[in-house]
Amino acid sequence: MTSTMPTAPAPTLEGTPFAPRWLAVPAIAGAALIVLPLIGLATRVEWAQFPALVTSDAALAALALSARTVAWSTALVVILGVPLAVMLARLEFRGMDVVRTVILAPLVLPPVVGGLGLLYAFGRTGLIGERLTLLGIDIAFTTTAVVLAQTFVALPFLVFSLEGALRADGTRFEAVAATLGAGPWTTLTRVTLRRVWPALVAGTVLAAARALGEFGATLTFAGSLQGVTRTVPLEIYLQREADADAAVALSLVLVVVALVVVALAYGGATRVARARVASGRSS
Amino acid sequence: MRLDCSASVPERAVAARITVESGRTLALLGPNGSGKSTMLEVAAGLLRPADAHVTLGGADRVLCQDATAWLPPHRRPVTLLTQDPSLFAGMSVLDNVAFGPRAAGHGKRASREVARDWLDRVGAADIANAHASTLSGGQAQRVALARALATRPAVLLLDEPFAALDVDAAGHMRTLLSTVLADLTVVMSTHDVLDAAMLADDVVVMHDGAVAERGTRAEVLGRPRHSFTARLVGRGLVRVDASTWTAPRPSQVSLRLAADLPESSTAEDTWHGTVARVEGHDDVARVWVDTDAGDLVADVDPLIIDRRILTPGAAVACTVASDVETYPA
Amino acid sequence: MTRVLKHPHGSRMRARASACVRALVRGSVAMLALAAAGCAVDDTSDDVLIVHAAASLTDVMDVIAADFEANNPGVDVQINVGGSSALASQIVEGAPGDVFASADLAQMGVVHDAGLAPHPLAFATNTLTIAVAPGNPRGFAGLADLTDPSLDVVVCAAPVPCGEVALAVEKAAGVDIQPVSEELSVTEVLAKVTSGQADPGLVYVTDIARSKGEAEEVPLGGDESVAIAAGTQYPIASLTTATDPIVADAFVGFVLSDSGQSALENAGFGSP
Repeated sequence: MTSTMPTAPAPTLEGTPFAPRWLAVPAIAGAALIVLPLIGLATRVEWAQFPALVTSDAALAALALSARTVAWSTALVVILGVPLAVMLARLEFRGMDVVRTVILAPLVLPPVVGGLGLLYAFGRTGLIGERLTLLGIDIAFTTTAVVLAQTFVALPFLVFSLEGALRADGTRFEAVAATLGAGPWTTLTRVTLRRVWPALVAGTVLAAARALGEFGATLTFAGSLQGVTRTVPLEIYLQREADADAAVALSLVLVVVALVVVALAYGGATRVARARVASGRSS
Repeated sequence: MRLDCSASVPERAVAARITVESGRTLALLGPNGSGKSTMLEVAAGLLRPADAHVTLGGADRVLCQDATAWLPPHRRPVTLLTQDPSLFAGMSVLDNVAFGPRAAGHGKRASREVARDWLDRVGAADIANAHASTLSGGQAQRVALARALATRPAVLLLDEPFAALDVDAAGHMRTLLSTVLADLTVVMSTHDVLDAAMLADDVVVMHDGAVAERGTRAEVLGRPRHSFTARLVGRGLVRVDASTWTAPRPSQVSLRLAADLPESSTAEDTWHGTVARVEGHDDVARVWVDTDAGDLVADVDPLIIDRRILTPGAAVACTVASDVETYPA
Repeated sequence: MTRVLKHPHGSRMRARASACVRALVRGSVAMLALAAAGCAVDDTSDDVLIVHAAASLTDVMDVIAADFEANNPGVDVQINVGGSSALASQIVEGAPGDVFASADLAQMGVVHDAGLAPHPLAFATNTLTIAVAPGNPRGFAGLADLTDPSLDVVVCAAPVPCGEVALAVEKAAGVDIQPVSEELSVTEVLAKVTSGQADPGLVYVTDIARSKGEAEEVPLGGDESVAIAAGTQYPIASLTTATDPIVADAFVGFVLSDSGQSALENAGFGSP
């Protein structure tokens, strides 16, 4: 890697098929499984009414609420998740595996379970909620509860992504920065986070996407009131009862947002990875 | 500034003390795993053994005193240059070098001025604006050196600075270091005697986690008193008498089969022993001989020497040229 | 879903059973309920009957299905529960099924309009009421007490059947409730009350019965128009997509029979 000797280009399989041809069958089936529902959704959109449907009072209120709550929960995810990931990646203490497992559990938990947990922790009669109520703080049925639910389900995405990147990157550069006189904060911001930037961005985007799609925990924990707690997914679920066209129209909005988000996160990460590979070859 | 670093790291089987005087360059000479890097890490503060003592400029500035006192690496006026340049990707070369001054609290512009100056001194001014990840190994190590020097360290620690470089780049780097290290206090670890010979004022030889020998460059490399040092510098080492050593080069020793020697011959400059090992070195066969007084190495021409000498276990007699220096033990 | 082999004499027997069930469905409920006992379907070996039932029917449908299976050996009744509107849209979109039991007429109407449920029949009624914490600690006396804006009242959202009923009740009583949350199903409303998050909520009387003491009922109060507005009818119909229309009709008949009606009554439902 650090040699100046001319390196022969690594042999590649460019232009030659490197995977068994039959792999295309399950691959296409898998792609179809994901693509067909999205197409199915698009075919049901009443295009003539689409603008009206997505700009109805209820739809606009839901979109505005989702934008607001996702912005807050994403900010919280970064503020809380980055320190958490750094601690998990850099500290060694007894029982750390247990802590990590618990913290990442919401990744696999059904959101409704998360909602129940939040209810019994922060709800009126919950562990902390009871004390908060005594202090006059009541988050039940407020937008705060929505943000809390979204943060709960989204936080592990960032922690998972960032912690893995931090572990893979190791502490070599941090040691170098320290001997160059950089304190822990400078090292963290100028060296560590810069090195894992793609993972941080991808993790944040995925967390935001997860927060945007949050349904179960919000429903269980926060309730559903237009403009206060009824985010886009809840509005879609509700509209399905009354006006399937409106539900489909809003769904399409979410699909578009999802596509943009994935393109940004995945595309960005891939670009960085390619740049690294390229620079690795040249040095 | 004088650095005094002693440490015991049982989990790495290292227990040693090294000191370097102000303005001098100390080479920590030894093979991989001898504890050189461990000592540098303790000095830099990257390792915190329970049993360690590090002072700078005399006893008044304690960097580390067992578990009672501890200065973290970024507060130590000591900079470590690792064998891997470890440049920060995502920054230009200039900003890599400016990193230290910036971390010390200088402004961006001032730091870049300092960085430009150091890049100039290491002959890398032309790549100041290049991206750190696009450099060759030799360029990267130059930049890493500039980056380390730009922090104006009281002591500069170099951990195998040439190990990752190819022959040409290592040569350039050695020449560069011989000029820029002149007035600095430096500790450099290396497994290569040539580095110690070209760059060091003093040498500490490390062996199995402990100091085998220490002294000035000429004393340690020219007059080894430890068989391990002699092996490192490629010489034999035998006791002439109770208080005198001699360390002849392979070319200064001639070999014969013991059987060929007249029985009466007990010349002072002849040692009897057995062949321990034979290696090919260019066009000569290098023969290691165990004697009662120590080890000797001789280069023989395999075309004209009796082939039986080249067999391990063969009884041989070694004669050392008369002009080889002897020195007190 | 699997289609099973037919009994060799199936068609003849099915014709007999079919006539019996048709008579059941077309006649008056009381009379047909009497007839139902003698009308067990006897050509039903290994039939699977899929019943789409509104969520509020979950528990009682299990009881009825067990009774039906006991009376008709070889029939395996599978209950698919969900929100009425979700079920309706699934059926219209082609989900296989034999019977649809809806919690409101509108959703049955969706299926009926699609031509899939030609003969819906009312089989039960339910009544909206006030659910409060056990012991009614805040001493609510009726709907009029729920207008205090400082209260955390939860109701169903308007498009959900229980939400429609709640709106009708409010209108009839002339009160304006400001809920803190409009839930997407009546079970969510009940959960918010039983978990102590909200107090009170508007649910069905059958939900109070299902809560097993974790919620208590407070009557709505008000005049007869409120009581009428609070009532809701549950329709049931066999579907044209039924794999075995005779068995499907028989199940509908069974729900309308004394046996089915008493199970519904035990669960707190009223008779139509």
